[in-house]
Parts: sequence; C-alpha cells; structure tokens
Amino acid sequence: MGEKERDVRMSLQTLRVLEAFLENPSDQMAGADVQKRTGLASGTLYPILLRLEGAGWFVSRWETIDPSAAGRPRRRLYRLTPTGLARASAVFASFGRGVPT
Amino acid sequence: MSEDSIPTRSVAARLIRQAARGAPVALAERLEEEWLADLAAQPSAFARLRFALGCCWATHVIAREQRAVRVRIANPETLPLDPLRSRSMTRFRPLWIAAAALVVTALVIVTAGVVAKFLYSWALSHARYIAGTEPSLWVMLPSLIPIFYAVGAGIYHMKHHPGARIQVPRHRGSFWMGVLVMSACSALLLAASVYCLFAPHFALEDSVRKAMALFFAITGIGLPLATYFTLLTQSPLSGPGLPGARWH
Repeated sequence: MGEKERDVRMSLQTLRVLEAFLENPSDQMAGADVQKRTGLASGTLYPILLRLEGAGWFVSRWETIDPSAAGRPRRRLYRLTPTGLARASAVFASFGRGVPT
Repeated sequence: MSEDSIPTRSVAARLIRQAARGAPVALAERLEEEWLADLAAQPSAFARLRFALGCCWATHVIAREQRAVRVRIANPETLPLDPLRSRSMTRFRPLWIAAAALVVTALVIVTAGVVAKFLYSWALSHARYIAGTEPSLWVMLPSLIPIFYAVGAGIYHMKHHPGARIQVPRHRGSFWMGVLVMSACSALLLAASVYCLFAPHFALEDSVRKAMALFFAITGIGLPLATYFTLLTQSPLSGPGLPGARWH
C-alpha cells in the first residue's frame, strides 16, 4: 500500500472520518458505515480510508461471515491502530479541540 | 431488494467493476469486492448510483496518489520529518474558501447556459423575439455574485498566503484543456458583449443593450479571473508553480 508513517493530508473531510472513528476507537466500521456517519461521498471517503491505512493509522480486514448464510457479501472493516489513535488524538488536540467523546 | 431498483443496481455494479479495473493492480480486486459489498448497504437506487459514480472518482484519486507515493519513495529526501507539521498540513483552509471551487464550477455551467441560449436565439434570427421578451436583467445579475465571491476568496487567500502559487497538476493535458475551454468561453462572452452593443438588427432599447453588453463583458472577464483566483486558493501554500501575485 505504501510506506507506513508517511504524512497524511489533514483536510476537513479527513478530520470528519477520524472523528467518526474516535467516537469509539475500538469499533470496526465498514466504508458504508463511515459514509453514513460522516455524510461524505464515496469518491471522497475511500481515498481517505486508503490514505490513512497506507499511513498506518488504520488497519482493515475482511469480515468473517458466511455470505450465503448472512444473505449479503462480506464487508471490509476498518479500525484505528494504536498509532492512528495517538496521531488522531494529537491532531484534534493541536486544533484546540478535545478528542470527541 | 425491490424490483425497480434492480436495473439501477446492476448499472451501479457495472460502474463499480469498471472503476475498480482502473485502480492500481494490487488494490483492484479488493476495491471491487469492498465497493460491491458497501453498494448493497445503500438505501435507495439513487444512492447506489451516486455511490457507484463516487467510486469512479475515487479510483482516479487513488491511482494518482499511488503514483505520487511511488515517486516519493524513490526520492526519500522529499519526505517530511514530522507528519503532523508537513507541508500538506498547511493546505487545510477554511471551508468557505474551498467552496469557491464548487461555486466557480457552478458558475461555468450557468454562464455556458446563458451564452448558449443567446447564441441559439441569434442563430435563429429571433431578434424580434428577444426584443419582445426583454431579458430580465435582474435574473441575470445574481449569476455575477459567484464571480465576486470567488475573486474575493482568492484575494483574501493571497493576502494571507503571499507565497501561494498555482501548481500545474501532473495531468497537464487536462489542465491546459480546461484553460483552453475557459478561454473559449471567455472569448464567446466578450464577443456576445460586442454583438449586443453593435449588432444593427438587435431590436432592443439602448439601455437594455448596454446592460446586456456590460453583463457579458463582466462575465467574460470575471470568469477566467475567478477561476484563476480559485485555483490559487486550492494550491499548495508554497513551492514551485505558475506565478501568482505578490502582496506586500
């Protein structure tokens, strides 16, 4: 995916994605869930998710379900890494805002 | 899944498969499966179509960023030391300035419509028709507001970031094509302005002709200016690029 720990462009949209994950840092969310929470378009959201994953802030994995039993395809779930949690918290702290609760 | 959404869904699914094929090879298969799975979670046919179109754009962005990563890895001295204080961090700007880009895009569409309507009427020699239904200038005037908005945003941005430069993107062809289209629109508008003033059979009152000419002239000059300023507001705050104005 790319070199880890590289710089991440902190656009307003990226902050909204981080904010969604910081609400429950241990939660895993699929792209569709993040889209619902942030209201971002797919054209904006997925590059951000991949960018953050490439920078080591997120990690992703496939859902462990049986699609035929669940009646839907498996989704790709994203989760904050410890590095990502620390970096995201630092970003929000540097803007003078507390970490979202 | 309702019957009426199935055709849209298959169109959306086809769009997503097409989009994923354009992604970097290492990501294509994953993105296709991921996007198709998230497509199923969209609440309506329109939402699915919009989602799929968004994925088409996402492919373009992802592919471009992957190319940029490969270039940066090849040149490690360009990597910033502190990600949180990197130059990309300074691109964060107020939302109202970023919105200028959307505003100018809408302006181009609106102005193109106005010019097209004018040229259509002229081509059909409906001068009398135009005279009979005097164009409502009060309706046309609001379309000037986005020009002043974009110019204002650009001036504000340059005043606070005197090092701002327009950076020609990697895809120079599409950038210069856009410049060419913008120049053509501007030339058309200025030609329309001259036509309003001097066309002998343009049967309108003098004041209306002059007002229309002024409107077209302001739009013809303001459109490229607004676009220039908007590009500046979207540019990196320092670095190489086309010259921008300096403020002292």
